[in-house]
Parts: sequence; structure tokens; C-alpha cells
Amino acid sequence: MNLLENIKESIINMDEEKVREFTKKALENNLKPETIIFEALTPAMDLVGQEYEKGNLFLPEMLMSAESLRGAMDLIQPLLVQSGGIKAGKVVMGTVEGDIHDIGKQIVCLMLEGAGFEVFDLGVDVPAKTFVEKAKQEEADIVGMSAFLSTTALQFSEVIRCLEEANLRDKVKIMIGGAAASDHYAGMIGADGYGSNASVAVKLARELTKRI
Amino acid sequence: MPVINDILLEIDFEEIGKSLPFLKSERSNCYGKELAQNLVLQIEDNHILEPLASYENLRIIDLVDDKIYLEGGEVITGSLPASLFKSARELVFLVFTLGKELDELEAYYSRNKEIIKSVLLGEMGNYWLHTLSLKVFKIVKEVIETKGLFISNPLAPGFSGFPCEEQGKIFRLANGKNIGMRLTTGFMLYPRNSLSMVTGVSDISFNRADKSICYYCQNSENCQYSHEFSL
Repeated sequence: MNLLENIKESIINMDEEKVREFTKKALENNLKPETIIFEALTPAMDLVGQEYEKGNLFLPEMLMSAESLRGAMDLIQPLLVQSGGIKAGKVVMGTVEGDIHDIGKQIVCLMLEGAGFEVFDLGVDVPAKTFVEKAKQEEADIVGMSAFLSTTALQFSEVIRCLEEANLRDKVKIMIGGAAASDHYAGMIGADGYGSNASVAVKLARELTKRI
Repeated sequence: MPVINDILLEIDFEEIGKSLPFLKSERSNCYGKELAQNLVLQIEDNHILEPLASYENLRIIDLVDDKIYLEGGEVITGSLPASLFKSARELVFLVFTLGKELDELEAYYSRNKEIIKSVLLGEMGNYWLHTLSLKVFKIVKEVIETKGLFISNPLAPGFSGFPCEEQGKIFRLANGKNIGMRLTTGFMLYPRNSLSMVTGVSDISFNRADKSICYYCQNSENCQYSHEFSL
């Protein structure tokens, strides 16, 4: 088995130490960080995401795989910074005003980071203007919002309205998630997509950044 | 306004393990199980859970269409409570919480990017909150039944036919502030590990149809909590 396959298998097995060990060997064997990311880390997490979507993995198992990526990223990140880095895109993420649910959003943030996105997590109970300010400041590609209740999901529209008012709507893609969201709701309020879980959210983010 | 502050919640890893499928998975490695076990110990050793409940009974003055008029002028709106409580003479409004410490611990791990711990605490919180809801309901049921009255199944806002906005009324009527809870602008309870409920009280036993929330709910076939509170 080659080193890239070893890294993939270690991620699937949620073994951070092995991920670190094989990544170190891969770098010593002059494999490029980009190669490790795109030919080992990303496909491994894609596979883990697919298994989660099929119901073959529990959420904590998917997260342990995602966390095991850190074993590789700790070694790769400094090299990427030196070389100017590669990023899949910038995502400003938060739970909307009036809503204090955190975990779902955190999981999406972790998975997006694992997929190479730069994520700015604004936390929970985030006012619409804070989303707009951060999106403007960071020149975000995507604004991601989460809401758990139908009462708080109304804030999705408020954020979109504020992005339009700030002339940012055509510069960012908007994705929504959480128990109060759906594909239908995303279409109704003018968002660009809905992620039903963290794995789908990563696919959606990749898809949306291609359209920018 | 009665407050219940002597609720015993068992913090037994074996019991929790039975309700968390992840811990039963053959694939989950030892690290995940050890992590969960250590969290349970941490919660137990530091007395993280602070279960509290508050409730209030109010007499029903009238019931018209989907509105239940109560003594003091408050009106509860929703087709589900109107159907379920049509034979009730009063309503009991309940709020209960596991306390803010569990939220804070979850938030601490979340901030420190220890997401698995945060997720596991969330799952355990769901388990304890569910256990607490059953215990609180049992306590209130016993209080009502000692008066020779009957109690219906409880109902929470967010069920189909009981709008989330009604949570504000339940929170106020049950005096959630009294046990350190607050309500967000989106009608969400804080601490997050909290719930609100309303239940009917009657001179006569609630008939078979009245007993089942699921009978009225459009989501009953898909709901994991279906028939959980059957009397």
C-alpha cells in the first residue's frame, strides 16, 4: 500500500497518530502538500461522508475521522502558508439571531475546514449586520447560516435582505442549514442551497464556489 | 408557583450507553468510548447537572375554535392543544432545565475545537433532558392525582398544530425566570438543555383519543418520540 493509501485508511480508521505518521513519511518522500490534500485527505473524508449519509457511520465516528485530519494538517499547514497556501474558499458561518444552537454549525465548520475551506465562525445568536460586516471584511465566497426553529429561520431572510442592501448579494453564495431549513425553504427565501447534514454541506459549498 | 429542586438524575455510564447508539457500535474505537466515559465522570464529579423545574396551574375559562382562554386573561392558541385539552378544566404549564453548567461545558469544548466532546455532551444532554421530562411529568401527575383529578399527556410547542411562538406564554406562565431560565428573541429556551410543556387536568379520565398526542399530529408516523408519554 502506498503512503497516500495509508493516510486514507488511517483517516477512515479515525487514527490521528497514524495519519500524522504517514503524512510525515509522505512529506519526507517529497510528496507535495497539495497532493496529500487532494489525493488522500479529501477522498478519505468524501468516503467517510458517504458512509455517514448511508447510515453506516454514526456522527461521532465521522467527527473522529475529521479530527484525525489534524494529524496531517498540523504538518501540512505551515508548508502551505510558506507556499502561499491553497484554499477551497472563504465561508462566514453563524447561527442566526435569536437562536443559540451551536453543535450542528460547529460540525459543519469542522468538516468545511477538513475540506480546505477557510471558515470564520461567528458563533450563535448572530445579528444580520454581523454576517454582512464579516462577509465584507473577509471578502467571503459563502455565507452559511443555521437555525433550529421556524421562529428563528425568519432571520435567514433578514440576513439576505441586509446582504442585498450592502450590495454584497451577487458577490456571495448563501447556504442554510439546521432543523428549520429545507431545500424548499432555501428556494423560497432566495438562498443558493441547503445542506441537510455536514457532509452534504461540504458538497454544496464545493458546488457553490464553482459557480462564483 | 411550585418549584421542584430535588430531582435525582442517575449519571450512570451503562444507562447512558444504552441510549447512545454510537457507544454500542463495534466500529467505534476505544478512544471514543473512553472519551464518553471520562465526560460522564467529569459531569458527576463536578456536579454539572442542576435539574430544576417550575410549574403553574391555570383554570380554563373557555375554549373557542383553536383558542383556550385562561384565568388571568392569557390565551393559548393552537389546533393541537384545543383538540387535546377539550375536556380539561385547567392547564398545567411546566418548564424544566438541566442548568447552565452543562451548556457552558459544551460551549467550552466547542470553543476549543474539541467538537467530539461537545457532540457527546449534546447527546448525553438529550438523554438526561428526556429522563428529566419523564420524572417531572411523573411528579406533577402524582400531585394532580392525589387531588382525585386526571392528567393528559403533555404537549410541547413545535408539535404540528402548536406553534413555537406559544413557548413564550408557557415560559412566562410557568415562571421560567424563577429557575434561572430565559427566552431568546426567537422563542428559544436558555439554557439549551431545557424544555417547556403544557398538560391538561380534568375531573374525568381523558378518553382514548385525548390521551394520544400522536392521534392529532401529522408527524406521528415518523416521530421517534411517538407514544413516549402514553399514560
